[in-house]
Amino acid sequence: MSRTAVNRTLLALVGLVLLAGGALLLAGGLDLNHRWHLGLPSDWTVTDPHHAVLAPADRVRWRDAGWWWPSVLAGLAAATLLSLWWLLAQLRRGAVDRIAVPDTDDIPVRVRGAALARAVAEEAEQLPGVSRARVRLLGSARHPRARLALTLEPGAAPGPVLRDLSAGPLTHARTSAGLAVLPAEAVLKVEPGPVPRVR
Amino acid sequence: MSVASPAGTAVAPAVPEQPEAARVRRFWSSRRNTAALVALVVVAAAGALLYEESYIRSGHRAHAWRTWISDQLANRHLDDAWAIAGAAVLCALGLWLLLLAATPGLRRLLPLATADTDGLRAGLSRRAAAAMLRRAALETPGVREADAEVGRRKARVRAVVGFGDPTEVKAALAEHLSAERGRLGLVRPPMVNVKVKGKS
Repeated sequence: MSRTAVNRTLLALVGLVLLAGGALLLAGGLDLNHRWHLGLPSDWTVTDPHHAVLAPADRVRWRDAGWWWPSVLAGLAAATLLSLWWLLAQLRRGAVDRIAVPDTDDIPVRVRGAALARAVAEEAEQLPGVSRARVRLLGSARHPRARLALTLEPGAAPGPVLRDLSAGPLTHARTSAGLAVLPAEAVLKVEPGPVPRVR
Repeated sequence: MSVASPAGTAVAPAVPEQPEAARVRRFWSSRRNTAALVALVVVAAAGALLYEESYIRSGHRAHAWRTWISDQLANRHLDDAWAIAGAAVLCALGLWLLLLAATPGLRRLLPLATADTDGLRAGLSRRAAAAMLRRAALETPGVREADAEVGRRKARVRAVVGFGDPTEVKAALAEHLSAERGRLGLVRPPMVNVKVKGKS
């Protein structure tokens, strides 16, 4: 699962928990169960607006049960570890270290990801209309993908640049690493520059 | 908006806009900053509670912050103004996170047409599109100053005419900008709205 999918799933989960908790408390405070006939179970404390948000009696209700402390500690530990992992996953840059060249089973051949990325960037900067290129190779050793940030010279058009990029640097990188496909994402900016004035 | 090509349209059925529109794939943000922020808050809260629970469990007295929180929760009723405000804030935060999880984000990137480039996806920043339109406007004879803003569907170009007939300059500008609009290479080029002011 990609980082985007993980982030979005977990954000949705946290959002749902917050929304559900907030909605329950709000329903309690505004007496919505009674007014709108929501039919919440009558032993839920949120059905009574005069009930405390969390009364001491509710807080320690299961304290004497044998499962209470292990469950609380395990739940909190799981939440802490999971969110720590989630936080650390955001710091990873995700650059691929080595790319496995396929069809070289007897001699494992690997290409350094950074070297390939630099080669693509250098070739891209030679293309007409491109003033700067930054390239990173992400993904895994067997399925790398390229991410490019291109700065165009003033007056250059994106269409031809993209065609040259695909036919030149990206195709060369793909064939030299022996890959069947090299998916790429490019973000284009334009260099601010002087405008030739027509008088 | 698109100029009908003279030949070849007879072969394909005349639905030029539909497949074009279906191909638009927005860039999806990884939501890295929000995820880091939420993860940090959850780590801090769950970690503090975990520490406090094991601290109490090992026979110590609770810290003051923990006692303060449980007192607040015990003494405030559900219809207390603070409790209602807190619940409303929780709802709003939850909705906001759900919205962030479900929407693509990256509104500053406009998808570029990459039909003839294998495996490559590209986007043009809106600021870059504005710079291209502004440049095209300034290249038009008679335009002294120009300013361009590009939204996700519409672009606005304002120009000040330095010399010449404003009507003619505006016509030339509109023509030049419509060519530049095509040169942007976007899947869905924005509608360009031109405003021309006379010499002030």
